[in-house]
Amino acid sequence: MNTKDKSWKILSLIPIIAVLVILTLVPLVNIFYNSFFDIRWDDGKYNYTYIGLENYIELPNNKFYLPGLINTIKLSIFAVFFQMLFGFLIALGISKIKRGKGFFISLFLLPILLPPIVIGSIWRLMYGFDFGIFNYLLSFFGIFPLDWLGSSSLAFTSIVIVDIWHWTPFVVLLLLAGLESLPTDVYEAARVDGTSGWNEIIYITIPLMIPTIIVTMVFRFILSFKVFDEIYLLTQGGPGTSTEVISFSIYETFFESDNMGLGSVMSVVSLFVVSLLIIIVLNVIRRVNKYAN
Amino acid sequence: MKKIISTISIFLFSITFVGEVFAGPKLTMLINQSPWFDGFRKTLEMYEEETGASIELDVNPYPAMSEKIRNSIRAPEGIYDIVITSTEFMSTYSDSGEFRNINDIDPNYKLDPGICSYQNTSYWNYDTQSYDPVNGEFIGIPVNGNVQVLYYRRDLYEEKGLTPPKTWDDLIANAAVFHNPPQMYGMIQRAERSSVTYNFGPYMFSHGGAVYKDPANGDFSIVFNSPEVKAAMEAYLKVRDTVGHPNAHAIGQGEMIQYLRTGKAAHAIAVIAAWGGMDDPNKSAVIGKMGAALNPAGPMGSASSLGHWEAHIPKNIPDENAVEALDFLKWLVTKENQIKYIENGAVPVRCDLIDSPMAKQDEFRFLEALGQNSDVAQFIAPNVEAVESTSITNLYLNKIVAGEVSIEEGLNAAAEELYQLLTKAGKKTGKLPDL
Repeated sequence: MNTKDKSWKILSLIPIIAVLVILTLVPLVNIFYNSFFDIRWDDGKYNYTYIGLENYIELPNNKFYLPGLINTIKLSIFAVFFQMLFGFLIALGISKIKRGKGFFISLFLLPILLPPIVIGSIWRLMYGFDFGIFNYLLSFFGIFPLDWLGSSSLAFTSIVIVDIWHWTPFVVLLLLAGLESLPTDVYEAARVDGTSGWNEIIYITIPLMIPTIIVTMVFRFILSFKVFDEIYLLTQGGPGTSTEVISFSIYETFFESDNMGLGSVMSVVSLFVVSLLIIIVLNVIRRVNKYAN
Repeated sequence: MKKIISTISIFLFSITFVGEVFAGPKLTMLINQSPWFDGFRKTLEMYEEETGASIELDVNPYPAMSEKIRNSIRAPEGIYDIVITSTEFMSTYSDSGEFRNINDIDPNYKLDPGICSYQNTSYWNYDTQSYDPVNGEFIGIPVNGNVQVLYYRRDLYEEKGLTPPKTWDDLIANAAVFHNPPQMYGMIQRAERSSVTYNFGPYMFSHGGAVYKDPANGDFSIVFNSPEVKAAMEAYLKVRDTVGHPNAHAIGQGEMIQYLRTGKAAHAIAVIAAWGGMDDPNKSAVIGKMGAALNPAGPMGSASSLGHWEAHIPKNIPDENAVEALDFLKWLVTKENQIKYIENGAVPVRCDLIDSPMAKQDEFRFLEALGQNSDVAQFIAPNVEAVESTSITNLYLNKIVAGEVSIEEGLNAAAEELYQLLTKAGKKTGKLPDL
């Protein structure tokens, strides 16, 4: 590579680096900076009072954030696990379809195309205690109506179900793209050797799909930490804090309570926790892969 | 030909004339989408037609209101010439110092005594951080008189020969007659986390309870874990357990109205703004069947909780716009126009309409209950930190109703957190010993 080529490559990267710095790094640094201040609006301007680590010390006492963090991690683990499982099975099914594949893809994509407000309304109606279709159906089996969104023990599961329904199509889409791009000659050779359909999935499809599965899973894991719409529209974090999540706590602190300092700390800690969890997940996957190989 | 020319001339003259006389600024008002919005919009259209003024409405869902107000009033130049605040964040923004004193715009204007006082929420005292009609600045004009009233099925009452309940025990006795879940619930309560404090208000105040000791005089000592509040919560749970919905803690305003309109609730304490849909054939199965009454009384009499809206004129708009904005608000609260306001389906802010012939008409049968409840309505959190303090009371009351904690545990925990909040805010505060 000559010097001219190298300079051109660096120069061509500058616009995207500038965009990244302006849109990502600057807000991050700003939030980190704000987290050390008590910020109040007084006499027509924001007044910053340096308080050191006080916001960080106060965070564990916050009645919403910690339960929200635990719920978010639980939701991410359960929802992403089932989304990956169902997503893979559905993608596998669709990939085997010879005719009308487009129709099925469109059908399965519907949940991610619907606006969140519609999703919230649909599920709130379906989960309704007296008016909901789920309890109506359960009544045919003599089952007493369930308090889907009001019971502290059931509300969280209800939210997980909605999240699985909402985001499984996204997983289907990515995994289907991966399945469609697998080399056909491997399958042809396996069939010549008389490999069963089940063994084909276990010994060929899954190993070949591992990179796509990992990328999809990490992607979904990150996105699942942003869950907000379902909580906001279905339970508002209740009953108690049984469905509280970090994005809802941050929203309430920033926009409702106008507490920018504490809101910034919540954002910084959330970012740190998410990054840490992703590193752990990637490490686990790498070790499993190494062991399997 | 002459006729045509003269017609065109008259038309052109009219346009010019109208244009010259009503060449005021075009105003923008921030308002929320709510059951009373249509009534407000229709009345505003009448004002525009009558005066030629032009006010554009920026209509938002309730949760977006606070942020939009904040962004506009803190900007060098405000987007909105009129903003409205609900009781949830009224005190916070009243203390912001970003609203004009109405008397700086019109030194002679004062609220007509016929307008409900709503515990003086039009006047804010920046020194004591409380509502104060004597030393406070005149910064708001009420535009919606939302308070909670008792809804009851008057057709069923007539059938059974009952009269509206005077006390909480009367309510339980009457509701028990109709309580037959899931076909019909005797009483629907709204104890979802986001709104339970508001719904609990009539129970709390009627038992002599409160969140703060004497906020009007700057004493924000916490009395939320008093024996009176405990008694009120016991009454709340007794209603739920005997004639209420077992999942009250998951019911919000939307569901409560749904139960009423579908005929599955015999009673509910709900905002009067919900009345609009009760007699609407497109929305209700109980047309003409609903009645409204004064909330049941506890040991301290009847009570309601304020949920009204005040309109404010921000400082960061041109003076000319401020004058126009005040002209509209002055027009809106006159007795004559409040009658139009009611006819259009909005919630009036005048307490002197109870005695009007209008109140005797069946269509407006809610007016008497609205006036009675407005007279006894109290402000639950009249403090600058209301958003945060209400999130604390909402959380613990919801936990109590959901059965996650006992009444004592919940009220003590809430009182402790409120005390911490108010202490940090530098308020004169204190707290009671644990229950």
